[in-house]
Amino acid sequence: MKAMIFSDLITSKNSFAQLLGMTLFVAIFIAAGTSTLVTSTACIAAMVPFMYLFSISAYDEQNGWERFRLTLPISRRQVAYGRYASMMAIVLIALVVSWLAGMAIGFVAENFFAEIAPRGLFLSEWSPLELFAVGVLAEAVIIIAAAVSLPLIMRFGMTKGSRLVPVIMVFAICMGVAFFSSGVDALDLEALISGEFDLMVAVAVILLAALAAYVISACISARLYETREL
Amino acid sequence: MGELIKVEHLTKRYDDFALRDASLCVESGRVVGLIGSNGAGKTTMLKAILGLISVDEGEISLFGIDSGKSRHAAQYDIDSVKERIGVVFDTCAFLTTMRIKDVEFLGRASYSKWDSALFERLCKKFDLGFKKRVKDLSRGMGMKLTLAFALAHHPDILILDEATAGLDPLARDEILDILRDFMSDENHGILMATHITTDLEKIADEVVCIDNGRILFSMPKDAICDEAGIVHCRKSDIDRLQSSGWTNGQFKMLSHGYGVDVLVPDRLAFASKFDDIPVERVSIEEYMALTLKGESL
Repeated sequence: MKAMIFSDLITSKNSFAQLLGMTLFVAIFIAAGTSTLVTSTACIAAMVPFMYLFSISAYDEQNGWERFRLTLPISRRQVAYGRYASMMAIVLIALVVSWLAGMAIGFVAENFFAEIAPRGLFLSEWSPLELFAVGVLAEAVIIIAAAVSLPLIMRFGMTKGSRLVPVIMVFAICMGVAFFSSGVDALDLEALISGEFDLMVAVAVILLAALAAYVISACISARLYETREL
Repeated sequence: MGELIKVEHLTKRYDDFALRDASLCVESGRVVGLIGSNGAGKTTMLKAILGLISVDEGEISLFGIDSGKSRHAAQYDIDSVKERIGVVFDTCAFLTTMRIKDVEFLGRASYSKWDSALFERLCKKFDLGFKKRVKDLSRGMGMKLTLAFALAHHPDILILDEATAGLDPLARDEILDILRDFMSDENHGILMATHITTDLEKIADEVVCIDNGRILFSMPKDAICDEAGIVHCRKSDIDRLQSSGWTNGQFKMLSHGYGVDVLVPDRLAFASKFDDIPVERVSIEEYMALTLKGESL
C-alpha cells in the first residue's frame, strides 16, 4: 500500500502546490466577503481535499496510468485502500493548513488592517480551538462526500463515476430533508451553535460518524475495484 | 527450460468480440511475438495474463503459479509475481506532470529489487535527464523511459504491447538491442505483441498469430523465415501445381494484379520438385497475410 500512497502523493505533488495557492487566494476573499474568520478556515479545510479527490481520480485516466499502475506489485485492494489513505493524508494536511492560515489571516487583519477589517476577522475574536473545530467540521463534510464519491469512481472510473456522484448526492440530500422534516430530531443544530452542547463533543461525534462512513466506504470500494476491468 | 508464461484454452467474451480457446507458452530463454490485425485479441490476451481483466474460461500460470479457475481478475493471484514482470504498453503511462526523478522514486517505492543505479544508467544512455518532465518527452523518449522503468527492477519476463510502434527505425533498433541484452540471461523471456513484424524477424524465437480472437498459427520463427517460402507464380504455374497433386490443399495462394503468390511450407522441398519455379524466403508479414487471406491450393 506504501507504493500506492507514494504514487498518489507523487502524482499530486505539483498540482497540490497550485491547489493550495488558489485555495488561500479564495479563502482571503471569502473572509473579506463574509467578515468572519470561520468561513475562510472552513473554505481551506474543505476545498483542498475536495479538489484533490477529483484531480487525483482524473489523473488515473490519463495515459492509461490506472492500468499501468496495476502492473506494479500492488494488489487491487491496496490500490483502493491506498487511495483512501492518501485522501486522508491530504485531509489532515488541509486541516493543519486551514488552522494555520485562519490564524495568520486573523493576525494580519487585526494587526495590519484593524481600521478597515471587520471585527469578525480578528484573531482575538476566536479561540484557536474554535478555528480548529471549524476545520474539523469542514473535513467531516468532505470525508462524507469522499465516502460517497470514491466507491463510484473506483467502480466506474472518473468519467462515468463523476456523473453518478451528483445523482447520489441529490438523492442523499432529498432523503435527509425528508428525514428531518418528518419530525426526527437527530441533532439540534441551533443548540449546537448556541453552545448548549459541548462544542468539542459534538465535533467529535460528527467526525467519528464521518470516519465510520469512510471506513465502510473503503471496504466497499475495495470489493468493487476487484471486479473492475481495465 | 522453465515455463514463464503458460496460457491454456483462454476464453474471454465481450459483447462484440471474443477471444476463444487461446493458448500460448513463453519458456525461459525465448522471445515470443504475438501478431495479428487490429482488434484481433492481442491486447486482450496480454491484459488477461496481467490480471487486468477477468477470464471466462481457461487457465493462466506465471512462473508456475496457477491462476486457478477464478472468474475475477482480482482472484488471479498475480500480485505475488508482479515483482518479476516488466511491462511496457504502447504509450508512456507515466503522468505528464511527473519528472523522471519522480518515476525513479515510484520504482523505489514499488519494487523490492529496484536498482536505482541501473535506472540512472539506462536514463543516461537514453539521454533522459532526471529533471525532465514526462510531458516534455517525445514518444520515443517516453517509450525508452517506460522500458528503463521495466528493466530497472530486474524482471524475469518482459511483456511488451506495441512497445516499438511509432518509433523511428534507429530508436527501434536501439530498443531491440536492449531487449537482446536482456535476453543474454537464459532465465529471461519476452512476450511482445507488435504490428512491426520486421522487429520479430530480428529478435523472436516463436511467432503466435491471432485472428478474430483465435490463434491462427503458433510456430518457431525459423519455420517461417527459414523453412517456408513464397512463390510468385503465373497462372500457368498454378495450373501446373494443381495438376501435380503435390500441394494437397496445404499451400495458400493469394491473387493480385500481377500474378499469384503461393505460400509453401518447405521451400527447399518445393525447389527440388519444381526447380524451374523460383521460390524465395517469406517474411513474417507475407506469411501472416497469406495465411489470413489466402485460399487453399
